[in-house]
Amino acid sequence: MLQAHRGAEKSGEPTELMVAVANGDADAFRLLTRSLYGPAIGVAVKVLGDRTEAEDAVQTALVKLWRQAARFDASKAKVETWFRRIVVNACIDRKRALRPVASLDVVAERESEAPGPFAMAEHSERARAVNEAVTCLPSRQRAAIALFYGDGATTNEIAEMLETTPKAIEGLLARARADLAERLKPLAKEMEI
Amino acid sequence: MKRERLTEIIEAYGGDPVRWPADERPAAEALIRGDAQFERMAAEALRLDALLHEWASAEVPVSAAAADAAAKHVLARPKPTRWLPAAVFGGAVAASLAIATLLQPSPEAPVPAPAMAVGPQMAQGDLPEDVIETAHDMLVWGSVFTPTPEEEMVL
Repeated sequence: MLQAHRGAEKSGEPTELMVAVANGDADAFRLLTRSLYGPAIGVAVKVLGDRTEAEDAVQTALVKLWRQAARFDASKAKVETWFRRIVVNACIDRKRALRPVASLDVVAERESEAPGPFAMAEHSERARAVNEAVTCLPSRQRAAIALFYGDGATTNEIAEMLETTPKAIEGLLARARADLAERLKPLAKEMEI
Repeated sequence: MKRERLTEIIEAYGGDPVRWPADERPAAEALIRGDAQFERMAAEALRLDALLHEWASAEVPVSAAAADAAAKHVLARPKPTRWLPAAVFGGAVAASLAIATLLQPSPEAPVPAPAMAVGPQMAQGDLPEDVIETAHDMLVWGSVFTPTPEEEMVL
């Protein structure tokens, strides 16, 4: 176990760290968390639209990682992909369990406790408008959009993460884009040459 | 490729052919070439793509300290023992069976028609209050906290 961790620490290789984590190596878990946490928060903030909730969802995902590390199969997926799937599903579960989405006015006026993409985007009216429009989407559509445009994920990859079919993802993307096109019509017009 | 399919592709994947399904891309590109209606549609889709790409690519600043704190929080929680999920699941099943047995009226006992209409409410009248409360608690546990296979691993 220690040898696996030392090797992993040298290489920083997530797959090796996962082996050590599966054996209960807390140091390997800390190292792995350092590399996975940032990207996970990035996706979670986009899916949930709220930094605090995103941190809670990632925390839930980390608990699963710590407890289910032995289930990870390196021949099937990269650690990052496996964990991202857990994070996205934790976000969607959280969205289902939590209160209804806050109204647009509330979202627009809410002060961020920590700087996130949306807080940072406040310098830009355009970014704020896009964020508000995306906030209105159902969580699975938002997840599909975030993964398609943020990660460059294919419909097959998104389908695997959301545990559905590529055809269903195509439908999610189409509905999301149609909704967003309508909401962002004035912005899109501004972008016309 | 039919025009309807190309419309579906642009609506779902946007205006950038690189993001279109690889196996349909050549036919889609051939169909769009020189077609003013599709070229306009793709151009509009590209503008939305640009907005969404900008939104989705926004960096989220995260400190190493935040990651360390998250790891520390997880590690502070005890790891579940291997038998606990099975025990919880078994307990929930047993509780459900017990409730079903407890609340089911005996076939020999005559039940007045109104009681049959309201079911458990009349059964409650026949049982001591503490038994009813215990049964209710067990029912709530059994129905609300029966874990799914994934929850079993978290418990």
